Amino acid sequence: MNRKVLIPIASIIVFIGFVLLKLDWDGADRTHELWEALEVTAGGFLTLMIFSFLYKDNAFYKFAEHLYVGISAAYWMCVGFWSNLAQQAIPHLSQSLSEALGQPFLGYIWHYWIPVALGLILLTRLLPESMKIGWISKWTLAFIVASTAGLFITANLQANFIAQIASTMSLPLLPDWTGFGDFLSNFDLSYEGQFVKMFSNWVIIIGVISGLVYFFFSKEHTGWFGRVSRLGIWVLMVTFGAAFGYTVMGRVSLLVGRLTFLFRDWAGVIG
Amino acid sequence: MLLAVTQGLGPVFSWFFWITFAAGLGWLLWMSITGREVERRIIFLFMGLTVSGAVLAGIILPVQETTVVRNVFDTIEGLSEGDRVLLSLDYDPSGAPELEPMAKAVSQHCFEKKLKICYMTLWGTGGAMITDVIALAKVDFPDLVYGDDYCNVGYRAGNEAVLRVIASDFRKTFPTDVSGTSLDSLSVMNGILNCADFKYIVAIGSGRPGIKEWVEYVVEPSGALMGSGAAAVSAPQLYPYYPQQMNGMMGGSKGASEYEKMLRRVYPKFKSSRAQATEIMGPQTVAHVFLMLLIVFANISYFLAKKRKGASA
Repeated sequence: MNRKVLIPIASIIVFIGFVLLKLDWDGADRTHELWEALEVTAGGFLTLMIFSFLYKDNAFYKFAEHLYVGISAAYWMCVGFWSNLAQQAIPHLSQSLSEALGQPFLGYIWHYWIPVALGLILLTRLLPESMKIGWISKWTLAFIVASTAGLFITANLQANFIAQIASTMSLPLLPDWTGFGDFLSNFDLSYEGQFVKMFSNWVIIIGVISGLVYFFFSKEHTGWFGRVSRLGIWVLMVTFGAAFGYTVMGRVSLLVGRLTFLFRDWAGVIG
Repeated sequence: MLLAVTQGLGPVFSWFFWITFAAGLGWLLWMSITGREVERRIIFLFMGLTVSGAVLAGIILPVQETTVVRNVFDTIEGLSEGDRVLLSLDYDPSGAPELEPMAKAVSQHCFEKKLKICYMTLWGTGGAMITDVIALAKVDFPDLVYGDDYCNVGYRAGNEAVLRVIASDFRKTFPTDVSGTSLDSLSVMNGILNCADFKYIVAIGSGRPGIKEWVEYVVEPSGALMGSGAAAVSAPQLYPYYPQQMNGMMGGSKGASEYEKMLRRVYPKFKSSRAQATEIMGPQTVAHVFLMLLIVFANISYFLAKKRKGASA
């Protein structure tokens, strides 16, 4: 038999075998048990298929990848329909349609036709090029870009610029300072201690200044200016290192999550 | 210490695994010293074996509590019975291993304090995450009543625009809950007109829209009190918002495991509940140690190669 036929058939047989192994034959609700076994086995198989890419690209990986993309697209289309049209637009436009979709009618508001019209205009991109009407979708795109920019500018200025500068400038260089004697007698290296607080504040202030100096290109980076700039590079490198460490932590967490699923839920090796 | 905690799988397996693993590391070191290249698939295999071994062995390591996480815990601990908390779960299944433990622990804490939770999400895939978290929390609180103890307003499309609106008028974007019931008929939402009416907001997210957007579009304009739980990848970018714009943050699995520890310390009844993040931290530490060893080996190889090149020139 052809290899291209044999491998999928063998895979299906192995899959069914694993589902049967996972079935609890003494369970009261057989249908529920079957669905659960199918769900967990499919999850286990798909996880292994995706992991197989680490060895090399292969048909199993491609199958899992295409399945993922297809399901994601279908899922987002349903979410888009229900959350945008069914729950937001239609309850303000048509009572009969709202009732047909099982949504409460929230009263007719004429300006809800505007987003509906803009949405329809966006779809003109899908019409054949010979109709020469696709350009009209740019109106919607322009609206999206302009409104997003408008939203972003004010929010970013306040939260990421003004508030950040204010927070940095208001950092006390000597927090909770009551005198050198008190400082020495209450010396504490814990996270909540005065020394660590003070050290942290100094690191932030020196780090911000040296980081800014590194990005100041109107003066040659030589002499004391160059040394501060060099410190700025170190600050940036430490920041990137910390971010990398966190990224590794995140990725390992995901790996642990998948392996726990394989060992606990699927194989039942750990309790 | 590792051997002591691998008793669950039997001493023979433990000894065999760790001796084989140590031999493998020795081989990697030898390859580095002799300047030979190691194929990336072997590194993947080692990482897989390291994490698998640690998961199978069930390694649990002690967790150190930090102020940034304790602030979230203390804020919830300081709320009174009946106070309303908004819990936004802005992540998808790929972020669940890190973020679901946080959402579960915060939910358990709120329900134990008899606080009322309103769940929402800015992610289309977040609806299923909310369902999962509620199901997990209900294991310890089977008598929770929908509408009285918690509610789920689900997802609304619009990203930042949703936050911009709910900062001033919650019902304008969420007139109904996820099943189409008017918010006016849910006692959880009585008197809630905007985000600032919630005593505390906990945004748990892994990307955009997420915590950063909550700060920009809700905390800044409305002055609402907010804590957060971030995926490890995005956590470093969010620390600048602490403590002025958000009063605490759980960063990745480490932050979640700290919260679990605090919850178990204050409420021993949760000791029987599964501590998902704490379970992750053991394999996490082993993986980090392995990665650091690889970096050391790679540097040894690099400097030896440089030395050999210098000698031959």
